[in-house]
Amino acid sequence: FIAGDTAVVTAVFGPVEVKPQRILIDKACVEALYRPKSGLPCVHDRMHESLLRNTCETSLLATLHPRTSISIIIQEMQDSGGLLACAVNSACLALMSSGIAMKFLVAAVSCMISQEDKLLIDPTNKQLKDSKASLTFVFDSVKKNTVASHTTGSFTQIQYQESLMKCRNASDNIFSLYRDMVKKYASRI
Amino acid sequence: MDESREIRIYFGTDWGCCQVSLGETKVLAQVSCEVQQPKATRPNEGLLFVNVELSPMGAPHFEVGRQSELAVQLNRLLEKCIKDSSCVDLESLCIVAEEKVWALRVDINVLNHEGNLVDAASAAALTALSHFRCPDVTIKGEETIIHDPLEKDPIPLSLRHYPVCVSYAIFNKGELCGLHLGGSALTSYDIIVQCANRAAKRAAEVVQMIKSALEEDTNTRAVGKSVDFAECIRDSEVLALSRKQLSLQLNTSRLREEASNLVQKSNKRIIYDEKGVQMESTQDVHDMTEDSEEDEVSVIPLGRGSAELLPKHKQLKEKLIPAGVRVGEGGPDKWINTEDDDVKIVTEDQEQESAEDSDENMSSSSDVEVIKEIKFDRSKLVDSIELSGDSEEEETVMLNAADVNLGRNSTEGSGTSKRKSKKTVRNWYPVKQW
Repeated sequence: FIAGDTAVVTAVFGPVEVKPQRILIDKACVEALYRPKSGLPCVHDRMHESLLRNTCETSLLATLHPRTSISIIIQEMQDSGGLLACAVNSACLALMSSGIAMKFLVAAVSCMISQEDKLLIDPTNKQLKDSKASLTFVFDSVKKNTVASHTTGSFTQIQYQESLMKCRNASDNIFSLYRDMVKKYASRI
Repeated sequence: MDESREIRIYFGTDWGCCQVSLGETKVLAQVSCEVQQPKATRPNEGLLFVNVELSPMGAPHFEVGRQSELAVQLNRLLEKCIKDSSCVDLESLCIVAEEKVWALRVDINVLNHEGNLVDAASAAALTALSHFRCPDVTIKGEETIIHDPLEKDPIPLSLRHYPVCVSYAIFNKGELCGLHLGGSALTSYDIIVQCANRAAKRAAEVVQMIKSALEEDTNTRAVGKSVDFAECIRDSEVLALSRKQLSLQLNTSRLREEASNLVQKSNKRIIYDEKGVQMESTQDVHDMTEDSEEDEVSVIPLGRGSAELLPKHKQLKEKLIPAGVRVGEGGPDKWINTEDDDVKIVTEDQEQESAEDSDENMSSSSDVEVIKEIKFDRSKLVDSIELSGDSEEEETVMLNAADVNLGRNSTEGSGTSKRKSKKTVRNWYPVKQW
């Protein structure tokens, strides 16, 4: 999945056999693994992993596959801003392509609040350097509810609500992109 | 014997980022640098770390917890290849003797493992190293200023020579500078020397390829075009299925498909072993098409079960059934049978409708039809293969599904009770025929 200059590769394995310690009798155990391009995975990456894990767990019909595990592996290829959103979107595409049942699709949009209190959607790394806060929202495709939100920096409540609304509108683009992709690649998926 | 798979080299936007694919094997390498204190024993030399990560993306049996034997072997090989042969001029990495030196870090991630990781990884590491640029440093009295790459052009690393791993030996422009014998084959002196010569030629070829790729990249960068992975993905998409190029590609689907290709091959092998009888590959296709029939028939249950899903994705949901069938109980899938039967009895109209729908969808791209069926099954087989390979039980599960197919097909028109289908399933166990 490439968004501008940010590229992410995702692989989904599952439902597969799970180790006895992770076995869940009523649903599948969803695991996420996030690998940065360079350096060993660090705490920051673990945070990404947990966000991805929770997002995917809510969107998957995990109860259809008890006592198995579904692994989502994400490798960062290029980082030019909006990496978390890119990762979530590519994970959703991978899950779609793998054929595991999902309750809804998810789309993530990242935005930032610059020093002059301007709201920029999908910023690049250069723009992010000059930011007060950066926010990433994940929406579902059915009711456009917020599935997850991840923020860094400081901002006011009003700014949060504003950016939430703007990103919600932007997520429509991503959903229509999914639809286009599926139409074009339906015979391959 | 000198044949090898096609090598393709792609570069990313950052300096020192490259992806090498050797056929289906794909490896991503990234070089990064940091300022650190040098080792006490070598105060005027820079540091170099090589790290190979076998991510589970590469192959399903790769685990996150380090480090499997293969990983250790790869790591050691590449260390020998790059560090011990001292291809990078470490002294040039020194900034201030005894205080600050550049510490280079080469991270290699295996994206897809389909054989000969050593070659691919070494080529990737080498390319990344030669591609990498260190930020420019100027020393003003006591201060050292590291210039941003945007301000001043960064400096490339100085490589003394280009070591490349070529399955048998590591070469240095014709001189043998390292030898690694992988595996345990009994060979005589002659063969080793022969191999060495051939490997020398091959190494030269690879180096030539790397150099030309680097040149191309510098040219495009000089022109100002942005270089990123979009091209590599585009190219490989074209290779995979000759489609129109798009700026946004489904990289994941490609990987998944490759994974399923790989898995399908191993899947066939498993079937052979189990039976002990030679089976033609066409038979596999037959079985798979049978499975796909099951897809159409049992569209309904899931369609109803997950009613809240968007109708567009109904087609995708179909594939869940076979996966569900396999992952379900160990024995015959009683509950799934009953579900299907019950629903079938109640909603025969729907069945016809949905069967028609799926037929329509299938026949919409008529020439692609056959391919489509197989593709469905490939992904299914991937799911099943994730289980198998561990124990025999999984293979029985596969058989079971086929049994269920045949059992269900026989009871399709009549809509008979569960007991009959269960019985047919049970009968299959001792017989074990396709």
